[in-house]
Amino acid sequence: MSSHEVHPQDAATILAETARLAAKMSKDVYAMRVAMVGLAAATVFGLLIIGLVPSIGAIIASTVAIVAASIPVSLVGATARARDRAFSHRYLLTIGCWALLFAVTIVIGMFLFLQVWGFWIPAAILCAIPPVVFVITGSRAVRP
Amino acid sequence: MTHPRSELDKELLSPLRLSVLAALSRVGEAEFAAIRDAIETNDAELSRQLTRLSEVGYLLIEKQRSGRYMKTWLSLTKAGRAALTAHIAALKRITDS
Repeated sequence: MSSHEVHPQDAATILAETARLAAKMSKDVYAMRVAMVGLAAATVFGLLIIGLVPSIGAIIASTVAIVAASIPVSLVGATARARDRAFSHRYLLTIGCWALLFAVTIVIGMFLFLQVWGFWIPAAILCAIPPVVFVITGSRAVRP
Repeated sequence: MTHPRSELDKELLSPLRLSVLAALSRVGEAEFAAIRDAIETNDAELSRQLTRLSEVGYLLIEKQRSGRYMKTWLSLTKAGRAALTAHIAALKRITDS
């Protein structure tokens, strides 16, 4: 039998195995993307609450939400064994930009624009952009 | 009309080598240990297959620092991704034949 001989049944088995392996390895990649989407959502929620409902309880709840959303981002980032291309660079850039935008928003907003919808809504959306860009550029990095 | 088996990539007739490329097909890069565990082989055999894949230009092997340690990260080259795509297409035509 030729070494190139592959029967249809064998081919089907091989195809099923390749699909299984591809799906298994991509779990970490999807976990990071989900974590980043969670961070973006928590950022928008948290900033809107902090800026528009400036009570101690609201600030605590928002802070807890954002911290809780950042934990999976850190954990998956540190432990992922499969990831998008140029992950480290993109990850650091994303976290750095997000942290900077968040800090600037909090400082400016709390001092100058408390309860001003016209500031907090666009600011919250702007702060959510870095993690969203991370997800979009990551999915492009994997396509052939 | 040629049989689809003639379109199979010779390098990917090895189940381990095909498994390596398949495991990397939907990620940008993966750790050596993750691939080893996924395809259920040992370090020595995987290293041998990775060397071959790297020699034919299908695989990129990089060492990256992770804290105090260096880790080996694997990724498909464009040629590797093209070879895998063509090989899988040929296998699909074989299942249809």
